[in-house]
Amino acid sequence: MNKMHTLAKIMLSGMGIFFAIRLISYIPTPISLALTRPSETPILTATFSIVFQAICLAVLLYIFLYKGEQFAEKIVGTSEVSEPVSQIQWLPVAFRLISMAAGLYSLIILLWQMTYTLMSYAMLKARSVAGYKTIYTPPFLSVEKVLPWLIMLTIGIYLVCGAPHFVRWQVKKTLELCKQLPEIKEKQ
Amino acid sequence: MTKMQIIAKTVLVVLGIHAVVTLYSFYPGIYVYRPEGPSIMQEVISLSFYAVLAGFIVYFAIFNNDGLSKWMAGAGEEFEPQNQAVWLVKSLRVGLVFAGLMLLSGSISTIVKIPKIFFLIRPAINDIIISKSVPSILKLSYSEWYRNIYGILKAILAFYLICGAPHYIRWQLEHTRIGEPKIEQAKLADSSISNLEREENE
Repeated sequence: MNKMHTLAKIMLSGMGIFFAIRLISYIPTPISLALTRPSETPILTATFSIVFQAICLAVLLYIFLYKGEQFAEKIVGTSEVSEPVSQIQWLPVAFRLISMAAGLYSLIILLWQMTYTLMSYAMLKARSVAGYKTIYTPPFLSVEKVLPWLIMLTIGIYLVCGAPHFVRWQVKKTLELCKQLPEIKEKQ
Repeated sequence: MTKMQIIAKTVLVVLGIHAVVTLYSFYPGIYVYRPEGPSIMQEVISLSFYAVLAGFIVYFAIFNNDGLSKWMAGAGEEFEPQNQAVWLVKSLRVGLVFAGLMLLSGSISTIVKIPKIFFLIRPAINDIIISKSVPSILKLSYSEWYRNIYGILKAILAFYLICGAPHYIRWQLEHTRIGEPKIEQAKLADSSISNLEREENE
């Protein structure tokens, strides 16, 4: 394992812990919401949300902590790679790691928003006054809600997969900027 | 500058951006439910407080962070000035793209709303011309106006950061004193040599 692998492993472990903590902090919300109006729909929705969050947490911990070493190898490359001599080599790895972190962040925000919407809907549905329900219950899945979710899901998955096109573009642009360094120095 | 100082500088910039964005998300305007907004006095006090705090963060964490980064990272092994510049560019770019991606995930709902504006322009113009009244899309409460403007500015910032913020990086390169510590070290070395010579002469 070379320096890059160690760096990638540390970053992945850090990301795993950070997002696990964030995910755990979301779990009490559906419970407290269900407890405020204990009836069938909110309790069922809360149970579904908690189970779903627990599954996500387990997957997160499995990938980032238990299988962190293999994942780091996938990001950096084979373990036989020599130490990076050139400074260019760490750049794609760094971009890939930040893309994955941002992707995870996006997916966790999405999960939170979905849980919150589901819980709000369940709470509204549980209200006993029929008239109130028909007047104030907003449409459950409107385009305005679903479209950002779909975009977030797509971006999140793309970034978690390492965003190859984005990383290539960023590396290209960064190297172009580095080539302009003498001109900037001349201005100084 | 040492590698650690450059990394500290990047961390400061990213944290500074995050701090300013978070700070304005807690701006009291969001929590004011009166349609007419807060009183003028309340607005002036909160606005000046937030402006001073944000200005302080922007000045010390985002723009003039050389001193703070040196204090954070401490002394270390230095390398060639050309490499320092290359490291600075790459490190800043990675940090800024990361900040941009994180901001983007919170701005998607705003970005989705932007195309909707184009469909609402025509009815709004009709409202103004025909019924000579304020269009319904402009009849927003204070907190709604604040939230929309904040969301749009945040989305613009996210896009700029994802593009690598080239202007900001160029500005940083022009204003960061690359290689200066080497001169300082040389001065220190000279002074220590002269001290030694003085001691020998004495």
